[in-house]
Amino acid sequence: MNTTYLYLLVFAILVGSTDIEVNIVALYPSASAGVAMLFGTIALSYGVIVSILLGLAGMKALLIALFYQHLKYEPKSLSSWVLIGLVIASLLMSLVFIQLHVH
Amino acid sequence: MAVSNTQVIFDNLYGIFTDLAIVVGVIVFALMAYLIIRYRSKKSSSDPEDTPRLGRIPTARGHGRNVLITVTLSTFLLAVLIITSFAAVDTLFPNTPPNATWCYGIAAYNQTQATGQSCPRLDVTGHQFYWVFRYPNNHTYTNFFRVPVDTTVVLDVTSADVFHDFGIIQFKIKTDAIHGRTNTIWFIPYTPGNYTIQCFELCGTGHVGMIATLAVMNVTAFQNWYGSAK
Amino acid sequence: MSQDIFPPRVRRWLFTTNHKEVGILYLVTALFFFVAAGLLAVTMRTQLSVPDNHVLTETLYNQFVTVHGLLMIFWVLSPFAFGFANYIIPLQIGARDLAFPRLNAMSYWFYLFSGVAIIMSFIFGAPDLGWTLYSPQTAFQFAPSIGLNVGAAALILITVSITMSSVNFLVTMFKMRAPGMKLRNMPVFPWAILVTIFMMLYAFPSFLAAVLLLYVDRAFGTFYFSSLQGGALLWDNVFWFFGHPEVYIVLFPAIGLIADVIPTFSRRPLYGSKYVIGSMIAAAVISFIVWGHHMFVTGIGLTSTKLYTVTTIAVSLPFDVMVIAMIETLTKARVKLKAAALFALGAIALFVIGGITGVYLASVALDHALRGTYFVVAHFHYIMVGGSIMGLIAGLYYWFPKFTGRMYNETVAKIHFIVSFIGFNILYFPMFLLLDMPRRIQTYAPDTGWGSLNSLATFGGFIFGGAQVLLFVNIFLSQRRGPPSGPNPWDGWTLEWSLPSPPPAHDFDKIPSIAEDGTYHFGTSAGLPHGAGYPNGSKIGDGYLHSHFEGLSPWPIVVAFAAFIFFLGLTIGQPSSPTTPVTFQPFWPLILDGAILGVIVLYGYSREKFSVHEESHVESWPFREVPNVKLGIWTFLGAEVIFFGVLIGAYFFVRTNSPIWPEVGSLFDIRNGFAMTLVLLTSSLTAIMALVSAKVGSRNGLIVSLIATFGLGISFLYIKATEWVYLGSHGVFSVAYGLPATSYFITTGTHGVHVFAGMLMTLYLLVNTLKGRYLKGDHQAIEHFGLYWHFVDIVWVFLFPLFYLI
Ligand code: HEM
Ligand SMILES: [Cu+2]
Ligand SMILES: [Cu+2]
Repeated sequence: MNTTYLYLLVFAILVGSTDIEVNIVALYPSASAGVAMLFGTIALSYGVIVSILLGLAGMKALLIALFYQHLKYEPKSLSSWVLIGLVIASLLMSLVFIQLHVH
Repeated sequence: MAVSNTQVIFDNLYGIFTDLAIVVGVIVFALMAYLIIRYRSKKSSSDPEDTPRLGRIPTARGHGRNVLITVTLSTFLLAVLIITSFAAVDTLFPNTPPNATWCYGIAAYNQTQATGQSCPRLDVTGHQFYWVFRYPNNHTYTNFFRVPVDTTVVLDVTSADVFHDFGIIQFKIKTDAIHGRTNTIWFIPYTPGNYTIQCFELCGTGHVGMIATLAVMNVTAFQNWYGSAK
Repeated sequence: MSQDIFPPRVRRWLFTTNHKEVGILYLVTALFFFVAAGLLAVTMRTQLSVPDNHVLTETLYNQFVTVHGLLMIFWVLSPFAFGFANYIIPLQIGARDLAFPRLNAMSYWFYLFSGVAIIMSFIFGAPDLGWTLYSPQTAFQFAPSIGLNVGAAALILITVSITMSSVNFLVTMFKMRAPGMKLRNMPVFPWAILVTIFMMLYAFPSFLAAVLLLYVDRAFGTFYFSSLQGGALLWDNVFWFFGHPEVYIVLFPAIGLIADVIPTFSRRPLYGSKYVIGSMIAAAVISFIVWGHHMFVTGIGLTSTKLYTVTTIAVSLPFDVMVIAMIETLTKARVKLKAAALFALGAIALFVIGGITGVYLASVALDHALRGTYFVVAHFHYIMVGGSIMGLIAGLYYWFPKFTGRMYNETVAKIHFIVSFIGFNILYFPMFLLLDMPRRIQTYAPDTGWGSLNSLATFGGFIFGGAQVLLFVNIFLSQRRGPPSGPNPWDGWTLEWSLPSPPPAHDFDKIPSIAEDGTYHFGTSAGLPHGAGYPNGSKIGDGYLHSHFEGLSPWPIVVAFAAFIFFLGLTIGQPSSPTTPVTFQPFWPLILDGAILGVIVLYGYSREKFSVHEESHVESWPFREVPNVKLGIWTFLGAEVIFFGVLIGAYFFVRTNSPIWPEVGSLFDIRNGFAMTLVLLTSSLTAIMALVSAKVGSRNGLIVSLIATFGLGISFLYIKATEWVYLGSHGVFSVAYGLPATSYFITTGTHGVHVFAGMLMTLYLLVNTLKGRYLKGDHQAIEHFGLYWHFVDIVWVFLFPLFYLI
């Protein structure tokens, strides 16, 4: 596939998922009684929505890294330092979480 | 001399650590001294066969097995330390402190004693640069407080401004005094007398004088004092 | 810029980019700070020698204790080690210099200016609350001292310096090893430096983030550290998350060089060297999950404290392996007790004591008594002075002949060791027994009974301090008059000993190589037989000073100077309100000067033709295909991940710690966030189109894409600015909104600064494009810019949901 089309396709996905992100907010339980959908009204729990949002963000980040930063076409080792950074940052957050919420 | 349950627990644990430390230290230093003396360079001696030389990577040396043995032995020692430490900390600093009993016998709390309930905790607040102690009868004292001997005392420690640290030196306990947080410690004093409380976290110019006195009294003396306090 | 106004010698030292000269600069500067911090310590010991003493006022004592700690940890230990690393690592791995020599010089000048700043802080009333800078005492209302601000500037500058070095060394060590110098063939010293750099790369960004949050709190009155939901515990976490790796960072280089010194002087290979290296890696990894042992008494709960007890005790296992391996090395050896060997062995012995007492402190039960006492002081001085400083002094004696081509006086050096070792123990051992005495107090009452042990310690302090005079006299006289040393006086095996002492500017005439069987080959000649020595081509003094290596660049020093001015401007200022100071006003003229100067000199820096030849036949596993600059950028992005990770972590901390938080959409307008996201995503598309255009050689396409990227960047900042102004004018930025506003402004603000920096880059690229560059095969700069820009985009991809949608 022509790279330009590939980049455009990635762009389309990025914009599309952003659109999902802003719309999903309407499903917060507190937002007045959920959203009228085709099959009735739905409201998702806070945790589910947050997970979906972060999941989408993660997916977008991955797409940008793989295609725009073309990690997909680089030696695998090149992403090591960033990945180690991510692991360390998540260790920080997990241990902080334990501190704050597990006694 | 045993001055409080916390001090006794500390001393025992510190003793275990120190015994092991001495054993390990002596072995390590003896080995080191022995090897240095035994294999020091003499005129007559010549370089060993595998001396690292410019011009080639030195030959690899050492057994994984020996490393494994060292690590296993140390793990064993360290496990002992972890287990004894956990046992101590579970008593000393549990998430929920034991029943406070310092108020038993005082008229206002007789009901409490009868039902085996916990006495109120005492509040300690660090300020730049003094300690304020508050009793449940709302009397407050600056830089000194009193408790009856052989009873359980539970303290809620906090700070009105910056980060302090409340330590009762002879009792070997301390906890940070942090604005907006309350940290709880407890102890049972064993011996009447005066003990020193000092701030253990540099909190500004004046920190050096942030010292208070804990007076451990006979139960009756304490009850008289507490009852007569205006 | 005309460099000719300076005499050649001065020019050489100011503008050098040669790794050996930069190394010497580091060493000399670090030793200077060592003396300065040492004098503070001796004064403090004098003050403490007897009870109720008043040589120093309490304020001055607190300032000394703080600056002493900061200086020793940041300005002495690591730079001392990195002086060696600069000089020796390229030699030991068979490279001719570091990957980015100018960046290396710049690291040094950032370091120097940061040191100037920390010393300058005394003018304004130096920081006086301990090197750990606990919050909320650092809030402006409690510490309305401009000295603390200047201290923050110093810390930011040195963090920048260290991050630049980390990137530089990582690229060098991964990409520039001589043929056959596989990772597993590297001596232990380079390995130790490699592991150290990793910790630096990931620990320092956390510190930068912490200092940044602190700075913004003080300057603009935000609430991270003065709020109850952030405050003391937030600082404790971000500080010690950096702080514990930092204590290993200052230790590992010394361990590494000891592990090379002991085999040389005991004439046997290091015992189990691969286990030593493995242990270093293990300890480095674990160092990131033990920081809570500094928080045992903050009330974080039993689960956490037990967890940290276990991780901390576990981390002593790898150290155990290292120490045992060093001692086992001596079996069947031929130990020559030269000064370097004495210091190395002495350092191990002292480190053992420091390590064992560390295990005491790792026990949460004991720590309730020991925390904040002289026991802790004794513990870490046994490690940092006993292990690190003694080890580094071993390195100084070991490599002195290599640096100068001359021998030092061995007898004086041995006396130096004996007096130091005895003095050290008299100084610090009594502190273990002072386990009731609080640290960081200016004086104590006579009835505490602490007087005699303190007198003893002070006595030891004078002995230890006095002994160092021997060191300085010895090296000063010997580098002028010592007898010639020859290339390899110790009969060492690592590559630096194959070169003349001091080595010529370009180091190797021919890059050496290592054959499969482990023998070295120097150009055409086969591996040298032992002791034959490498033909000494140069006379003493022929080395760095008079060499004709053209590696001068005036830019590193001026860039560092501009940064210095800029950060001084940011931190020197007036309290905004004289009566109830809550914030201070930065000094805008200086900021502006620094910024303008900075832009000019960075432009000069990037225009200067300074190419570094990339050897193609070197060892570069696992990055064979990757050009140096690209690897450097990805390494830098690794550090950025932690930087933003900690900013987001701080947000996460206050967010989950706050009982209430404004509802989604009530504080920040989702539509704004949506618009900004679209703008940035589009700018990523245009950035990648710029690369495509450059690759196919379309100049117009490149120009259009760059302009579009720039324009989108502006739009992003414009929307951001209007949002900020709107929120500001609606009083959102007020106490009532506290943390939601604080976390939003700081996090998106930092991101905005990144966007702004990216836009400056597009401008620069645009200028060069108009001059006809970057087309067909010359597109690297466009690609590298893109890597950064997309990263900034990715950060926003997370910030958007985190702030607007959750
Ligand atoms: C290896 C090099 C080490 C260095 C450079 C080092 C340095 C330090 C420093 C500077 C402090 C004091 C921080 C402060 O409060 O200002 C400290 C405290 C501490 N160290 Fe170490 N340390 C090292 C190794 C260890 C080891 C191996 C252990 C445990 C096995 C350990 C356990 C601790 C603990 C638990 C504390 C906290 C003490 C307290 O504040 O109560 N350290 N160390
Ligand atoms: Cu204090
Ligand atoms: Cu630590």
